[in-house]
Amino acid sequence: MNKIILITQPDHDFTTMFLSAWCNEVKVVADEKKDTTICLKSDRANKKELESIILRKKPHFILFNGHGDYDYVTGQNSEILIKADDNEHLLSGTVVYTIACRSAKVLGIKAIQKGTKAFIGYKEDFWFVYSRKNIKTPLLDNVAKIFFRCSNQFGKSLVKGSTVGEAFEMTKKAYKRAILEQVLSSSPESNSYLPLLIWDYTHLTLEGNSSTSL
Amino acid sequence: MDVQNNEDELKELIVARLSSLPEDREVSIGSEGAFSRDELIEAVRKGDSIGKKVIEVELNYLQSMKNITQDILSNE
Repeated sequence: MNKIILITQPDHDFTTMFLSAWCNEVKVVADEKKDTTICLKSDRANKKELESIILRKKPHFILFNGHGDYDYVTGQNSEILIKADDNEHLLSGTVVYTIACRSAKVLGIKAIQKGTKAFIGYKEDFWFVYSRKNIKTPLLDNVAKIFFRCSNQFGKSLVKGSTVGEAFEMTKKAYKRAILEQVLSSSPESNSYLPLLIWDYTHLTLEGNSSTSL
Repeated sequence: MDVQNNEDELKELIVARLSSLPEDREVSIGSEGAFSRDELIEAVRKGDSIGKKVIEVELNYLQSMKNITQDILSNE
């Protein structure tokens, strides 16, 4: 059955530019599966448009890229899109993945209480490294790739047909592989990447029903 | 005095690790922004809010390295 996948892609600063560029890997998988992908890019990543699309299209999977805090995720220009005790009920019936700082810690739990099937995200800040020379070409950044190859695993696996729990475990494995690669690397800069990868790995969390799928 | 010495040693360990970052790299810390190697080193030495975040990440790394290594090796 054709699934509906909603992706927010703000791009108002370097962090969101890299997040939004790299999440196209998930869109590619969805396109191959002939799912319907709705991308809210740049200024379209706003609260009004997000709420309208959720109500009209009833997406199966929502992937939020952006900034966040313990109880909200943001879109373009850091406008709050979904906030706990405000509109998290809109996520009811969906699987949600947020590549945004901290939102899994409070918003994730509140969303599950209001009917979200599963909420996957990071309980603390999401860290990654990039090279300034690739600001205009984020997808060519092999340093950012180390981090996004891990964080993108969840969306790719879920869209391919894995359950939430299976996709989550695959993401954890992707992090472990990346960590092992950096441990075994002879490159001095791997010393800087390791603590950040371990931080992201440690704080990736799943709330809700792990046996559900799209 | 011992606690202060330990903190100073930890900071220098972190600075040494950060120094391995090439100059063109920036580290994204979500809503806090993105920081260059030199900005992070200064933040750690000053002990400001960003510096404290970097220290927290380092402590998490040191504490978890043993468990993660055992986990990875047992799954190989």
